[in-house]
Amino acid sequence: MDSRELLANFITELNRGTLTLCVLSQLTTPQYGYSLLQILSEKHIALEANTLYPMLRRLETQGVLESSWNTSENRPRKFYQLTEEGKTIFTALTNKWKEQQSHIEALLGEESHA
Amino acid sequence: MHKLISRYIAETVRHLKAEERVEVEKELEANILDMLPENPSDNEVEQTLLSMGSPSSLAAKYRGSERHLIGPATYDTYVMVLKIVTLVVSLVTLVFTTLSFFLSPSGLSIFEMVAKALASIFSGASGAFLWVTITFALLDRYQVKTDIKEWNLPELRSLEEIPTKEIKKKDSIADLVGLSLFFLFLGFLYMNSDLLGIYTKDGEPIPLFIGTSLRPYLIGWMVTTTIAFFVAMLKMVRRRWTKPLLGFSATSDLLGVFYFFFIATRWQIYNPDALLFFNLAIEQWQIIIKAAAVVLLLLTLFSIGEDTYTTLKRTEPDESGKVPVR
Repeated sequence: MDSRELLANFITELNRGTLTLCVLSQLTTPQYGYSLLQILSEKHIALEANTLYPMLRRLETQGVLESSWNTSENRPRKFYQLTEEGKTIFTALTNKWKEQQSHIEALLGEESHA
Repeated sequence: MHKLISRYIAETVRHLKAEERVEVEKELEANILDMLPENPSDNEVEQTLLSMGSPSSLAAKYRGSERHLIGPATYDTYVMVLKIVTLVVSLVTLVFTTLSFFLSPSGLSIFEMVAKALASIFSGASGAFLWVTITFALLDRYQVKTDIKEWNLPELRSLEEIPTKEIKKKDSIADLVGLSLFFLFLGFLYMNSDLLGIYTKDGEPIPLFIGTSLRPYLIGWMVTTTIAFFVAMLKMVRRRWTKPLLGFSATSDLLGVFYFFFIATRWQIYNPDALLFFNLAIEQWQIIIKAAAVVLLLLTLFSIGEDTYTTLKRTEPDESGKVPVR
């Protein structure tokens, strides 16, 4: 495995958890798959469609998201939104993220002065 | 809808559970259409589908967990059980096939016998592989815990030493003592073969062997025993397995076994009266001896195999000779 491939693997692993957090953060209001993709892309979160769509579905089966089909427009769209449980989890996850981030920042800062 | 899109979606959901298919199909269709402009060109459809990755990889993401027959959690135990079962089944098959040749002579040539034995072993081992694999696949599917033991620290402390190439001194000494006693026994047999016999309350003892026939062969046996004795001494001095030592040891072991075959199949050494006492026809006795020879050969080969494994695969013992380092 060359180092570029290795780096790509590390980035995938690094993203695995944080992407979930990014997606949850945008679902306090209902969104459908493609709109979510666009919002995230505008905010510089690179998330591929083939990762997002399965993720939404999985979060729904886990009870974190709930969905409803909107058929009022010319094409039906599936809208996702945080459930009550999802909101609790999202808040807890956000706090954890901030805590960890400050710890890691401290570590990385240390390293650069070494 | 574009034909390529419906084909892509159909190919994706084909890999999913039946109850999920309808929903994913509907959702995927909506999502893909959202990604495309109104009335997309063929090229736009193709590019969008390409960006979604292959249908099977997309399906894998929908499933969430990788599909496997035997997962990483079970794999080590699976391989261990597979090795043990295959080995045991092969050995047992070999013994029974070989015995069946002796017990019911079928007029096969030696090559046919070997071919037949190999075929039985192959079919036995394949069967073992199949059943072990099926068992573990089922265990994995139903998430049965297959860890052999609970993991805790006292257990780690009480784990046995990892075997190394070291030859334990007490093993060498046991070998030397055993070989010496055997040598003395052979010497005794050489001088007083008549004393080894069946003693009954009335009448003369019946010797097991015809002394004059047996004696010449005993000298050869004493030679092979002496060779084995020297190898045992060499082991005690070297204290660890090396390739040359393995060579000497295996040669000496095989020499011993083959010399035993040689002696035991000189049918004139057995006293017919002793056989009569046991109610044995010489033909029956020949079958017993041949069967014993096969078992002995198997045991020797097994032991040589273990020594070879030790020599080639195990670690060197630590310099202190006590705790092996990994």
